[in-house]
Amino acid sequence: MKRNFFAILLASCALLATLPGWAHHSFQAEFDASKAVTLKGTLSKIDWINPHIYFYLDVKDDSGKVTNWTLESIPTGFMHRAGLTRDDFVIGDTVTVLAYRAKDGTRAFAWVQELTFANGRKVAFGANRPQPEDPAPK
Amino acid sequence: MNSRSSWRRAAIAGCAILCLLTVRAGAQVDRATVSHGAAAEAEIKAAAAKPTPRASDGHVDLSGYWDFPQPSVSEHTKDGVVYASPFIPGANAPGQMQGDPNPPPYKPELLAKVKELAKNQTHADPAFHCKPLGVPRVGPPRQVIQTPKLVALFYQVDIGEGDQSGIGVRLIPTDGRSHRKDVDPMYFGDSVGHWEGDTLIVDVTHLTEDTWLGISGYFHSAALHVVERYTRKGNTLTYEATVEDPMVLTKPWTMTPQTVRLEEGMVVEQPPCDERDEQHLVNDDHHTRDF
Repeated sequence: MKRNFFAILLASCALLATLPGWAHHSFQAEFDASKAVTLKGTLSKIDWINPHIYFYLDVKDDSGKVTNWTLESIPTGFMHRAGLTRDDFVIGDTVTVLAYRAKDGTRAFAWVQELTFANGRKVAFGANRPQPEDPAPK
Repeated sequence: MNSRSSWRRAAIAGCAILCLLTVRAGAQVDRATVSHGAAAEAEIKAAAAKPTPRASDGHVDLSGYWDFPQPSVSEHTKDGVVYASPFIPGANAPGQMQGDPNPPPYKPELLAKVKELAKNQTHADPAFHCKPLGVPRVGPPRQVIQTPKLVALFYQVDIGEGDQSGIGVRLIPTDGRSHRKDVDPMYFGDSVGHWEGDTLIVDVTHLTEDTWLGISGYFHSAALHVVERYTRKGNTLTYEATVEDPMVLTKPWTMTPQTVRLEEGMVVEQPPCDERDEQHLVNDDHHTRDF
């Protein structure tokens, strides 16, 4: 029993080490988990590509000025495994997103962490953020 | 709690601990309460216990749609939230791709280059920039169609590294022919296959230098020669590959085997791969901890 236990442990860790690459790059290499922003706007465009899908969101501020945000997301394969396809996201839809701004200062560019449709349906991209060491989103 | 579940929980906890031990010094660890690997292992074991089908010519039939065990679509929804991620809170968590227990045996004078390439993976790895993973890094196929004289392997790479536009296809003749001489070095190379018992052996040559053997800077030369072994046991398919590259390795290297499970499905065409991140990266972090 004990022998099997350790065999399974080693096999499991070997599997973790050998699974195909899951992350194109580290989140921390590009986005800042301490710079969260909540945006409400309309989907203006979607680039359904790999290694990241991009959503474009028209967000109107209090003065009426519209800013088009570029929101980086996950690979298409992750969407499909969760049962989502391109058709789940409709141009013109009003959505609310929780996003993290880019570290390099690129304006209106962020990682979309959560997207909530007008009907309340919520999709989370990346289950692991913010990381324990990161400050809570403001 | 029955003995099976306690055994499984113990294995999961132990794996989490071992994975903690393998992370690089100073790195924070994911919320690794449950690993993806331990659950997958049990599912692979159950699938391997099923009968092994044979084709009309008597060979083991490799045909089918194959994949690593993953959470089901319904398991991706929890408390009303769709988690579009391989990792679902409370169900599993990513491991760290650190501390490879089976690195290729590079010549001592090349180890510094490997280390440097690994550090610069987000800039140097061809697969980061939408180049195909190539053989053998691509691993097991997603789908196989086997005929008596030709085996077709189909790949669907859509996971954020080495994503392949369209559908990747390899055609493996098993009629005894030799390698072609009229082909250029390519990502899948030139393959010829033959059966040894219940295992399909595939000899691969004409491989481009524009691939790595793994994410950690594992470069190779144009002398790369790969021998792959495809073995079906029950409803599992195990992929093994032995790499020869006397220009960079001290001896042949056998990759850690990967086993996939038979599932319902069919490969689908993938959208174009268009890498747009490199310009925004502020450091060299690249190992998985995010999704």
